[in-house]
Amino acid sequence: MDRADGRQRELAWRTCPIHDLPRDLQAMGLPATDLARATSIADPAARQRFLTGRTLLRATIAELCPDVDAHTVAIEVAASGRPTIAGCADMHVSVSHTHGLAAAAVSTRGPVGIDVEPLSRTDLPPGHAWLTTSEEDRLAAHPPEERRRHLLRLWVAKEATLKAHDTRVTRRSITIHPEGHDRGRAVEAIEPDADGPVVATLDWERVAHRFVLAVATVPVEA
Amino acid sequence: MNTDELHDLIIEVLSGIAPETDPTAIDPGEDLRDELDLDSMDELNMITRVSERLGIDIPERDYPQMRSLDGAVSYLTGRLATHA
Repeated sequence: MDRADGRQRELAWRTCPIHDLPRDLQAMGLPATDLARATSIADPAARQRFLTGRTLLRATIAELCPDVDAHTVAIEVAASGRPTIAGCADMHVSVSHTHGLAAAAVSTRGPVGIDVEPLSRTDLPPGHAWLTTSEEDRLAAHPPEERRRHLLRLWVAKEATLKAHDTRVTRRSITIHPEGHDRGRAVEAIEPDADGPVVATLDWERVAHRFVLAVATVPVEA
Repeated sequence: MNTDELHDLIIEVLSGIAPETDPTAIDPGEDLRDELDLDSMDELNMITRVSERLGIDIPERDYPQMRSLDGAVSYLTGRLATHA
């Protein structure tokens, strides 16, 4: 899809309720391969998550890449669980589900990861298990009532970055640097908390006032 | 701590993380995330709680070895042996 400034758009993401698909998604339908896979999922809730995620992903592919037949393109799943598009090495995709919401991202910029969490979530793991020292220091500078919101933003950013990389990076090997409200970058901490190479660029979005979402894309040169 | 005790400890921790499920009914060889519908936050909470209860460090690179009940018991048995 071309943008108003004339540059080719390289990244798209979209969310929708798992149990309440918008009309355009209801009308989209799924190929027999997706329906067969759904039939093999015994748990009804897991089956619905799969169906919504797959429909959303195909709709997002259609939005970003109108030249691709999004209805029939083969979506495969790697051993790691990461979805890939057969025959489209330049197209990268990611899907996330949480608490009734599905999210899908498609990128032609480079590998992509998406993660979403409800703002109400309170069971975050202890910081020492996933935050770097500089992140903990930055967090401590925020008023206590704002810390959970910032923690959730850090969490989804790290999870999105892990998904984009598939392997190699770990939660404590990267430091998240917000750059304004809705952009940021994940930097590899080669030495503890040192600034290293950018391993992902980040976009954040607040969804329906109830969720925070992050999309990470790996720079082509990384 | 023997393998039965490790098994019981993990089940106890999982019961706290996913109280609406029955961890005693899971297939011990299957992925805990699928068996109990755990997400990545649940998984990290499980590992950090087990780590704290046992008083050992579990490196993040080893987390995939904790994905099933059998895998977690096997990994922790080895990890505890190196800490002994």
